[in-house]
Order: sequence, then structure tokens, then C-alpha cells
Amino acid sequence: MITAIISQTIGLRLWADLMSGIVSASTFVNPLVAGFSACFASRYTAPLGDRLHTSTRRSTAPLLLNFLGAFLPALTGFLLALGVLTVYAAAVGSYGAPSAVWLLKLASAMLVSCAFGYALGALTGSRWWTAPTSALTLLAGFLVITYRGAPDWIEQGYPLSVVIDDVFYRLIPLTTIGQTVLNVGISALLVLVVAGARLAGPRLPAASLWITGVGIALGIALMSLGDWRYAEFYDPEDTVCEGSSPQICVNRGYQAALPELVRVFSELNTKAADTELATDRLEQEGIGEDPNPGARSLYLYELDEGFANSSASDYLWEYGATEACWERGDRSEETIAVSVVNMWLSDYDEFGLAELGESAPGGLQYQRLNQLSPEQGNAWLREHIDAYFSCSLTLDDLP
Amino acid sequence: MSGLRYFARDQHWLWITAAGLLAAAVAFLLGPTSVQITSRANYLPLTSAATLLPAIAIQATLGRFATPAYRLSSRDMRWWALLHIVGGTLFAALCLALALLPAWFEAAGLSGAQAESELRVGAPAMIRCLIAYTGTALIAMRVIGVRFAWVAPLMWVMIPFVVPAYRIDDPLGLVLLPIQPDRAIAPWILAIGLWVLGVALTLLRVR
Repeated sequence: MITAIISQTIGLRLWADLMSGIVSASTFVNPLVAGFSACFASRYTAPLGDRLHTSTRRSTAPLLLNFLGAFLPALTGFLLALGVLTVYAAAVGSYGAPSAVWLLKLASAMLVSCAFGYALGALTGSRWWTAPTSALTLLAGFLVITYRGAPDWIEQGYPLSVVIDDVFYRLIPLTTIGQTVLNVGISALLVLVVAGARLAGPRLPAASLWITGVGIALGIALMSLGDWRYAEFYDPEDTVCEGSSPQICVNRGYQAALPELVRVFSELNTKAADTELATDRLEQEGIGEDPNPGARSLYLYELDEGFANSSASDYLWEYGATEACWERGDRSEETIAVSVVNMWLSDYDEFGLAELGESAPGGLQYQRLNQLSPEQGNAWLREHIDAYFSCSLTLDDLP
Repeated sequence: MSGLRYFARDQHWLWITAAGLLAAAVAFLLGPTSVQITSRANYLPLTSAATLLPAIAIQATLGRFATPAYRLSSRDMRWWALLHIVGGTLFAALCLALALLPAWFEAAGLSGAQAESELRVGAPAMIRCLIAYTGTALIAMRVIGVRFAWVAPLMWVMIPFVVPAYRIDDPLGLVLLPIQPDRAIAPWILAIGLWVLGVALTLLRVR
């Protein structure tokens, strides 16, 4: 819950961020669930097994109830955290809604972690290393997958997920449901392994094995139908646009950013009028794989102080002279001159040139550019636009 | 039977040795860990997680001092408990240091701004993690018991994976210990402080 709240993008209230936080939290909650479950199983399955061995009933129900005794506290905690987050999200007015299939998958990941720990605990008995080994094994798998990579179906099916939710992606319900079914099937299999090894032995009802097998097969089949991907990129219609020169379109969750973006990019358009740096339409990066014809990408991450200027700076480096300057090197005079122009256009003084003044290369020129009116600056820029794009602008060329 | 004989015949030393060697193997395979935070920072939490193995092994095997055999011994077990913790920590630290020796030589061969970088993170940071996690496990053992003490260092290790690190100013390493630079003094004080506190609390418990 705490992880979900601190995972929120600065200045925004998105359910997608809260869900990302819940997913991140599962990376340490699920190993703990596995560890506690192993500890529980190592203490209570042996006495239960002794009783079942002398019983005349042929049933796995007592073992299932014993397993539920390990899982239900974890599930209760998960649901409680979700309830509190729902209240919090409603109170702060979060955009979007949690995906039910995504939540089911997270719960099933917790279930399979619990079953893994339960099986390990029941099979190894009460030893000092049982619980930490369960937790550390899950953690080690997660670390290896995270940093060494793994096929999609392993990476996305692993109970400690690194895949996060995003307003620019749409979940593929079939795959997610498939993963959920598979997790439940694997959990049932692990519990049956415990039952077969320690408790009921050959007296296991055949139906339980069949149901488990069918569940696993169904899960794999559903995941295969979804091409193993959990989400797909999509072009949501839920966008909101503002401004005329340029018109800026963002996801509705980012609507709070629009007034400041319109102000900064309008100023940029005024300064860069009649050059290729001016644009008629900006679309937030992430809406569609590429911006629509005639539009350009807008890069927007957090709504912290100066975010719109930072966004304008990113825009200029994307559509400005980056490639030409790359060949000259980032310490060349030409690159510094282009940087100064970009800082002036975006009003994003990332190096503090306004304060450094003459003591920094380009500082004096930056101050002079800022003293020009937008019209004077535009006249100067149009005169030097070719040198700007070819990254042959020198500091002497600047006002 | 004397405490020394119990101690010498104890199989738990094998576990601590195995855990120390395994942690060193991970550090060696994933190294060099003398990396800049800006380029390969994420690798350090991965390697530092390996130091959990000896830390938890040192703590969890201390449970043997609560067994009847030790309790019935007429000797004061505190010295043996101290030897257990100090010996285990030193052994694991030595394993890590040896495993990271190639990385240290590589770092020593660098020059200029790279060598002077305050952000360099390597073998000392790993050993600092080991000390801090061992201390945390020992303290947790006193608070929540020997059976669940592993939870505390595990959660600490996981924090860099779930918290947006760039948003946190943490020179002490209270939240983001694994990515503190080698030369940072405050995280060393924190790690050693935790270890000393953990040892003191453990010795107060053992008779």
C-alpha cells in the first residue's frame, strides 16, 4: 500500500501508478508469503499427516483447509490494502480504474508463492533454513529474470512480477486470465505433491489430479492464444486537447499539465515562428506508436516544477539539431551554441547559465538572448536557422 | 560436555561456510561490482542481495544456543556465540573480498575522473551490506524471534527494487544502503552500529 502511494507520478493521480505500486510491492510481499507459508507448513503438516494416515476417509479436504490456513491471512492483507487504496484513490480523485483481471493475476501470484513455500515447508520439515530458503529462492529467480532476461512467458508468469501497469497499454484479458488459471493449477499441483508425498499417498482422489491437469492445460492454452503478451500498445480515445498554436493532446490522466504546456509551447512557437521548430500539433508520447500525420511527440514524465520547460527542451532535442551535434561532440562550441538556443527557446536553464553569466561558455549569450523580445529573437533565429540545424552555429553568431 | 566440543562438532559451521562461499560466487560471477551508479547501479542491489545468505545463516544458526545441549552446559556460552558471529562475519567478508579482488584491481587501473569518482561502489560496499544485514538480522532475532528474523534484512534488500530511488535523498543509507558509495562514511557508521547492537542484544540473550 505504501509502495503504491509513493509510486505515483509527481503531480498526477493515476490508478495505473497505484497498480504499478501494487505490482512492485508483490516483489517483496510474495517472498514473505512463501517464507511464512513454509514456516506454517513445516510445523503443522506433519501432525496433520499423522492423523490422515490413520483416517479411513479418502479426502484431501483436510490438507486443503490446512493450506488455506496459510494462504487466507495473506489474501486478507491483500484485499485490505486494496480496499484502503480504493478509498485513497477516490479521495484524491485518481484517474482510471483498477483492472479486475490484473488484480486476479496478482492474487494468483500470491497463491502460487504461498503454495511453493507450503510445499517446501511440508517436504523439508521444521529446519532453520526452510522459511528463508523459500523466500530467497523466489527472490533469486526474480533477480535472475530481471537482470539476465528470460522468455516472455517466464518473465510475465513469474509470481514476482516486474511488469507494470500503464495508461498507454491495454491488458490482454485472455493472457492475464490464462496466467491466473495457470497459477491456480500450479498451486493445486504443489499441494497435491505434498498430499502425495506426506499425507494421503496413493489414496489421493483421481478427480483432484484430473482437475489440476486440466487447469494447467487450460491456463497454457489461454496464454498461448494471447501470444504470451500481457498487454498491447493502444491508441486510446480518452485524450484531451487544448490550445491552438500548437494544439496539445495528452491522455486525460495528464490533463492537469495542459495549461502550463500550452503556455510554454505557445511561447516556443512564437520564438520559432516560420521555422521547422514550430509545430501545429503535439501528441503525448505513448498515445499510439507514432504521432498522427502532421503531429509531433510531446514528452511528459512528471508534473514537477518546470516540467513544461523540460518537456519543451526534450522536444527541441528530438526535432532540432541533435543528430548533427552528435557528430561534433557534446563539448564542441557548436553544440554549446545549439544548447544555448534550445535553453532560450524552451526557457529551460538546465545549467544555471542565467546566474553563471560570463563565467560559463555561452552564459553571456544566453543572457542576451533572453533580453530580446520574442519578435526580435524570432528574427535572429530565422536568420540562423540553417546553421542551427547543421550544428555549425558558433557562440559569435549568437546575439 | 564442554562448550568447545559442542562448538567444534557443530554442523552449522558448514552452513555458514557454504553461504559465505555461495555469496562470494555470486559476487564473482556478477562482478565487477566497482561500478558507477549512473551506468550499472541496478547491478549492485542484485549482488548485495547475495550477502543475505551468510547474514541469515549466521543469525539463524544461532538458534542452536537455545537447544537443551547448550543450555545444560555448565560453561558460559556467550564467548562461543560471539565467536560464532564474529567468525562467521569475518569469513563471509573475506570470501567477498577475495571474490571481488579482480574488480578491485580493475578499478585501481582506472585513472582520472573515473578513479576519483565519489560514486564508485565496489567490494567495501558489499562488505558493508553484509555487516548491516547481519546486524539487522540479529536485532530482529531479539524482537521477533529466531524463526522470522530473516524477514528484516530481506525487506531492506528489496527496498531499492520497489522505491523510486532518484526521489530519495538518503546519504545515511537507511533506505538505499546497497547503492551508497564506497567512501561514504555515514553508511559505514550505520552498518557497524547495527552489527554492534545486534551482537550486544544477542549476547544478552545467550547464557
